[in-house]
Amino acid sequence: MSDFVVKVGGEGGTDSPTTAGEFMAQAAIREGNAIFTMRSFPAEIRGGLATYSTRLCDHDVLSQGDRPDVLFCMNQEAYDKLVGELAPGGVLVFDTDSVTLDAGAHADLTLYGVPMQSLAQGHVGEKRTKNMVLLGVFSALFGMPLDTLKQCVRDKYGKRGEELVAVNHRALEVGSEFVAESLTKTDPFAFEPHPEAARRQMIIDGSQAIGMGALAAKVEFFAGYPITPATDVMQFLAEHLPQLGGQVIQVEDEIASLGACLGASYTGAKSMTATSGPGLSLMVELLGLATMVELPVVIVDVQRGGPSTGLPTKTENGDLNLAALGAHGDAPRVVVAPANVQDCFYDTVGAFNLSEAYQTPVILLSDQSMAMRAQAMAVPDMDAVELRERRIVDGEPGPGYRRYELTSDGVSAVALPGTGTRAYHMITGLNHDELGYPSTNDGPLSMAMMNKRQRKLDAVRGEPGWSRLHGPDEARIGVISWGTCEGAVAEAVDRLNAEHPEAARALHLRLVWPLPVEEIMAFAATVKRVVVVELNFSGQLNQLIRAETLLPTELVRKFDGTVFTPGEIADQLRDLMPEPVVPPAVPSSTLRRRPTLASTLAK
Amino acid sequence: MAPINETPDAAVPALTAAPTATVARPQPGTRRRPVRPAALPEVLPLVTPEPQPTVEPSYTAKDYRSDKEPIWCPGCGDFGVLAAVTEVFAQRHMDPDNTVLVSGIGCSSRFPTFLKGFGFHSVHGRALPVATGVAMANPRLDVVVVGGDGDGLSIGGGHFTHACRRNPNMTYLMLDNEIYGLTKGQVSPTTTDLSLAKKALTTPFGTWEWPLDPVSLALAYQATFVARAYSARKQEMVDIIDRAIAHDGFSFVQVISPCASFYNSFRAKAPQVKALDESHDTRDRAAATALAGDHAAVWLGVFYQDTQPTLRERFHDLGELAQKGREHVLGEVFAKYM
Repeated sequence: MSDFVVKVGGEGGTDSPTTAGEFMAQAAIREGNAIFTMRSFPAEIRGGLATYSTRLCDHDVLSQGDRPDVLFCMNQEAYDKLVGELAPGGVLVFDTDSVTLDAGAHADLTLYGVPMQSLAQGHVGEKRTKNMVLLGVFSALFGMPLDTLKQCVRDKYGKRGEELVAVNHRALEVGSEFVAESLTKTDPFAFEPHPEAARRQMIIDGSQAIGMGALAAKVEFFAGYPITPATDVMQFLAEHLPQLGGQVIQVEDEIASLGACLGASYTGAKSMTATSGPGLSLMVELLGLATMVELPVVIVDVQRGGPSTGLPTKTENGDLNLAALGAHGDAPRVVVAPANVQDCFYDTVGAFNLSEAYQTPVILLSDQSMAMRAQAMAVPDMDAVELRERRIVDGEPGPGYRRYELTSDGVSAVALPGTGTRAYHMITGLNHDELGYPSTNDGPLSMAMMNKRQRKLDAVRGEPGWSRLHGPDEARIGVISWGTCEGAVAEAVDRLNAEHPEAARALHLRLVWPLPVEEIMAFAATVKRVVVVELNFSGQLNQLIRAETLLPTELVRKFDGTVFTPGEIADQLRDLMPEPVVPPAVPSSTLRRRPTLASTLAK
Repeated sequence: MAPINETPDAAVPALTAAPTATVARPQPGTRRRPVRPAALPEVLPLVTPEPQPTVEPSYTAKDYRSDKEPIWCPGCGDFGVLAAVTEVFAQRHMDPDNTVLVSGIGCSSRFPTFLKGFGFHSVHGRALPVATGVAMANPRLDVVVVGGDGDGLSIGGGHFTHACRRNPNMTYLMLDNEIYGLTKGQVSPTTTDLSLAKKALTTPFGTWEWPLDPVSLALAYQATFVARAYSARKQEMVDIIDRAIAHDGFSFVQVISPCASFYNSFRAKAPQVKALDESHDTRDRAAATALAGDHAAVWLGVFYQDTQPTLRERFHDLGELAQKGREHVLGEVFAKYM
């Protein structure tokens, strides 16, 4: 069993540590290992410290792990800022040309000095190959087959000419030869190739997976405005959607993005935009319009640290309040949140399905960590991907067509312009009658229309397949999480259960609004204490759960711009472990049409 | 002698047995969707019937009105614009099933309510992005955007720029009354009479802001059709809007449409407005720009028109889908990332 974390740090854009990390991850996949990668880079385009870490594991991997076991430092800044992260007994590989070690420090580490700069410049003749020299060193020190790395390089650069491939191959060899001639391995870490276990998989990041999911859902129209870290979704679709007959347009701002999507959706086209927190803030008025006129649209928010411009290149799961509740008046909409790259694909399909089936805006909350991390994913079986479509008027419904017919599920059939229905009507953000015409002086009608829109959420609440359980059937602590935390929570839960049987179990929600209240209550009935784990200051999911269920939950949070490690969660859960807490009795009148705590616990 | 494959119309036998005495008036839009017989009858009638009288479908403007009565104040300039628009629709035989009216918020933005067709009354200032999405997603639709000066130049000013330079195939009628009417009289970006501005509620001491000229802006933003009309001169307005709708690309018409309640400028405008001289070359942007900036008169007519590819035309379908099929193209995308 091999399982260790390798982190590479260097000057962004010059040392290109990210490229080295990507090749490492790709080669590991081809050797039948599992990976979990993390990228970090500064908000500036050039310069600054960029890092890429890869957990290399010859069995399934849930999270990025705790601390790096092996650290490659390509410059002084990487050494100064990152060496403290190394796990005890870890390995430091540093560029002797640019890194000066603190004298006398690091007695507990294994140190390997490599003159990366001069090897690249002198032996390869191209100083930009420093990251390839590093990969050669990695290959020889930790047992990654050099030929696999070479093949990855050929696959990536082959189209750009044999010369480029040759110089990179030479750099890999120079690094590998240096280890053979000048270093003696003394650390315990070793990569274990299992080429027989390798499957042909895609290696994609969360934004590419969202783009692929949109293609699979047959998106037809995308409008967007560049914003870190969401632009990759637009870039992916700009490249691929036209091949599938759709259109991608970059517009003047996020308001125009959502406006154009609503216009396209009005004609029946499946429409989508992608943005980050600041853009979602701008979209709020049109989001209310989408709810009011009942138009399907999928809005991807790749969350970054907020508020305001905040932390553009760091992560946070802090946009839940805005996504679920950001509106004047009560404007019901659906919010889903994938937990990993694979979810990004399938939940995007799911977001389109909910949006079209319920004629409602759906916000998909991804985040910077998912957008920037590569993960292996099996090619989706398109026959197994179910698509749901909008309820459309076929033929001529005749005079008196009611666009907003008051139906039991809140969904009414749409007549699309230009399809020969002759069902002329208008849609408006004003309160309107069943025909669609403005009506602002009819209290009972206003209530009926509000109820119609809210009814859709009741149905969405019961949609299956939007949560995952982890751990034993009953436990002392029940962890509820959303967003990018799932893997770290699962790993923490496993550790606690290894220490005490039935210590913890976890419920991960991917449908975060409307809240699946019954499911949460049923989960709460199997544990002594409910702890909500999330990546924001105020505990936004925690507040929603408390408000909707009156459960006395605890909060474990983090808001420093980085994701949780399993260790951080496990430590805090241990502190919360003590005596079981008896939930207070709740007056049943406060829970409308939902099971009371008492009735759920009695089941 | 006529080429043999070209048969004069009169010689084509009518497919009906005999002409009917009364010809039902076609519903609006039917002319756009000619119904072809599945196949010609194998045996032609022995007696060639009299050719049917050619009936020009007598669409009237009224056919394009919904059953909703406008909520505008008596004397509002927008009544005249509504009459002109329905007349243009009638004379162009526009198909209501294919017509989408998009608007923002304001008095004039209520326009879609009063027309037969598909209407999208969106939010303040955002009609142009919404309409752009409509026009891109379904290029067969006739898209008309209606809104006011505040909607289009203040809150939605950022979108006007980009709609002009993007050239989507649509007509934008800016009903300019130089005031915010729905909120009962505040200065707008086009308010010209500074003394009147003092009566506006939020500027009791007048306004110091220079009025914007929508025509000059549209010219500067590279719109491919720029015109100005005046709500009190109906036939001229009909002609201009007709040309705007016929234009392939983004056609912009500023319609001076005074507010009867809060900024009645009919009397002030009447002596100022003059029709552009027929000698004006509508391909000459510099001349158009000079006329737009001419303070001697408020010129009416088409200032500028040229032909550029529309937004939709610049998005080519790559054709691969038709050749290879959707599943195959999707498979290729997946394979690229392996």
